[in-house]
Amino acid sequence: MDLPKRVITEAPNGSAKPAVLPAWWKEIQDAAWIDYERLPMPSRKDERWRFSDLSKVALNGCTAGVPVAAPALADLQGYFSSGEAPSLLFANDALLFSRGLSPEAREKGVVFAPLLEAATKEADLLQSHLFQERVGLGAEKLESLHRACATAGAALYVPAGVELAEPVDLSFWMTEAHAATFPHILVILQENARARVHLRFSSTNPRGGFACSVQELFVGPGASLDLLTHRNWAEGVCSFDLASIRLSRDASATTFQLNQGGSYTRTESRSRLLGPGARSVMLSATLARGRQEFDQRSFQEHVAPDTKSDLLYKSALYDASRTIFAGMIDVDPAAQRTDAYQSNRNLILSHDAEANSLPGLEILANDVRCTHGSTVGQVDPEELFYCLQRGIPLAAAQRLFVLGFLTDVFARLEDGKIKSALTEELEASLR
Amino acid sequence: MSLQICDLHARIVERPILRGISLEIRAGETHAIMGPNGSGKSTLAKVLSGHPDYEVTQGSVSLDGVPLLDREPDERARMGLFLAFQYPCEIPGVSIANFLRAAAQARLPEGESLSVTEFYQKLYHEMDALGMQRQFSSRSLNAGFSGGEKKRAEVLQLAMLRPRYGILDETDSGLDIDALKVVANGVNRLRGPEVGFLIITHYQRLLDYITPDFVHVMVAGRIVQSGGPELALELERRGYGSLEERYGSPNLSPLAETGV
Ligand SMILES: Nc1ncnc2c1ncn2[C@@H]1O[C@H](COP(=O)(O)OP(=O)(O)O)[C@@H](O)[C@H]1O
Ligand SMILES: [Mg+2]
Repeated sequence: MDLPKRVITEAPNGSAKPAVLPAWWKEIQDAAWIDYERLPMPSRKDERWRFSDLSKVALNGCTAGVPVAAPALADLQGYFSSGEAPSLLFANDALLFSRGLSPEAREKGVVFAPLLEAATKEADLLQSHLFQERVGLGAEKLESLHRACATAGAALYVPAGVELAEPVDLSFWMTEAHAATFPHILVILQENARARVHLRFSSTNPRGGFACSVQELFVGPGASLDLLTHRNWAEGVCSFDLASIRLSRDASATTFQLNQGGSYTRTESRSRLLGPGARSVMLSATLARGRQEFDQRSFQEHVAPDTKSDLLYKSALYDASRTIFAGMIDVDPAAQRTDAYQSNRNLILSHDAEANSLPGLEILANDVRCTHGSTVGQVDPEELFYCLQRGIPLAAAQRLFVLGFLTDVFARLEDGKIKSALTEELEASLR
Repeated sequence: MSLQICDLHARIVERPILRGISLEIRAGETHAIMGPNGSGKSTLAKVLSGHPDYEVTQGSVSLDGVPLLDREPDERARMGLFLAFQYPCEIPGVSIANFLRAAAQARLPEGESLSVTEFYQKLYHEMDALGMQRQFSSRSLNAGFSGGEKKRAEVLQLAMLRPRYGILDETDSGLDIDALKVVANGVNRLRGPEVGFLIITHYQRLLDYITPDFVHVMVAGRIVQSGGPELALELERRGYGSLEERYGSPNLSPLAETGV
């Protein structure tokens, strides 16, 4: 992997408006850069990079702060205009469009702002949360690179007892093959707060780019967060998305990701169940095609007693695509009565596709219920014959199976509108 | 216009099952095939529809004059061949409606897309006729269905896809008398001068409700007797025992025995 130094030097200056960072943030950046340089490159010898195709992990000469050209700007305007939800749209790390919170939400003290703005207006809040979490499931070097470069992104803060009625939309785009982007998502929910976040990563250009995003999600006592990530980078994009979610007592979170596109996509997802009664549902549906690789690592960290985690990752693999799932359920000695579940299912549609599944458990408490399972299978030949006998050609039959297989994950979501929107989107991309 | 089967031999994993089947089903006719378990009835149905496990070693089949055996199963289906399976498999995650939409879409010319409104009108019309609740169409195909529900879903598909030739493999098995009547009625509604049916059944019971034009008896991979509807009643009285004794050995030629 080759990560040239110019990324960092160009990051603050390359964009139209140079980022002015508070001193504490500058310090974090500088320290992160040192970490980045010091940390070793990912290596296949490292268990946490087992099966990863490291030849695909590359910056490919991408730089931050690439200007957004007029046609892409017009396209993005089109993507942005629909809907009323509070939204921020970034491209190549520049904030292009925004729509604020409703007056009611603002009155209740909710904050939803670009990071740079929040860093001045909500300095204390940001200073005490931003870059405080480490995901640390292998991509530490990339995480440091992110810290050294990230200026784009958003902070969402919901005060105690406030329920944010509408979901907030955050989208991060790349418009050029040589663009790099380092989005940061910071969510802080105070006691009994509720919020829904829709996150989208996508490209307007047909190929190329580098993305390294980090999500820091703080879910306070009794609070509830739904976070939906739709990832659909252009062909050839190398991307990392590293997420850590801290759950306090009786907090609950449902994270869902729909993964498509890109060349190499690594997701690291850590759920930290820190307070009794905390609950985390981790869902992922991946459609892998061409030579795409999806490298997903997860960590269900049960620290407190009476916590529950439930992970379901499903992947459908076409062509010569590859997937890696490496999951770990980790139960501390104190985390009695943990209820943890981990399931990874892969549907292989081509002889050249390859799914690697590494489920794992490490249990140090004695009164727990932990189950994990993984399957790698093909379409059942009798089911296929049944479809063919009805005149459905092979490709269309496979589409039906893939849809059925992946929408099974959508079924776990509560919001009916989201479910049908996701199904439609998946249908469209399979057409 | 016919589905014509000539001297069909087929085997599975080196084991010959069909040993010279000849049969012509003309449009407008309904044929019944009866026979003891294991005689090869389902094998015939699967060989006709192109199941990959079976190997045809001899003979030919044509559908309205077009050779069938070198076609893929989905092509055969689009040419107008439909098989209601003896054991319909479960397809979790694929709703009946979406499945049938894909099947209907596959029958349209390239570039044309299905009218969803018309599709649902037709679907609900056929479901009403079969006494099926409309919500049933959003259930995963056959997943967790009772035996009767599966058979009903087969007949619904038959009614939606309107084949030229329909093969029903023991569609009566596992049905109570009321369900049997509904299913038989569903099939009878589809009969007409343009459509041929091959009804495979172990028991005569179904033939009380779907009166066939011809009845054939299959034993050990061959048709050993053919006749009119009265043959079914006769078999019901006599059982298959004596026929099996007579024709059961794979080494005997039934044609020589019957002097045809
Ligand atoms: N998949 C298979 N593998 C091996 N033998 C089979 C298979 N399917 C059917 N057979 C055999 O072929 C013969 C005919 O079976 P089948 O066509 O199902 O009979 P029927 O429908 O008349 O009861 C039986 O002896 C059965 O054991
Ligand atoms: Mg049978």
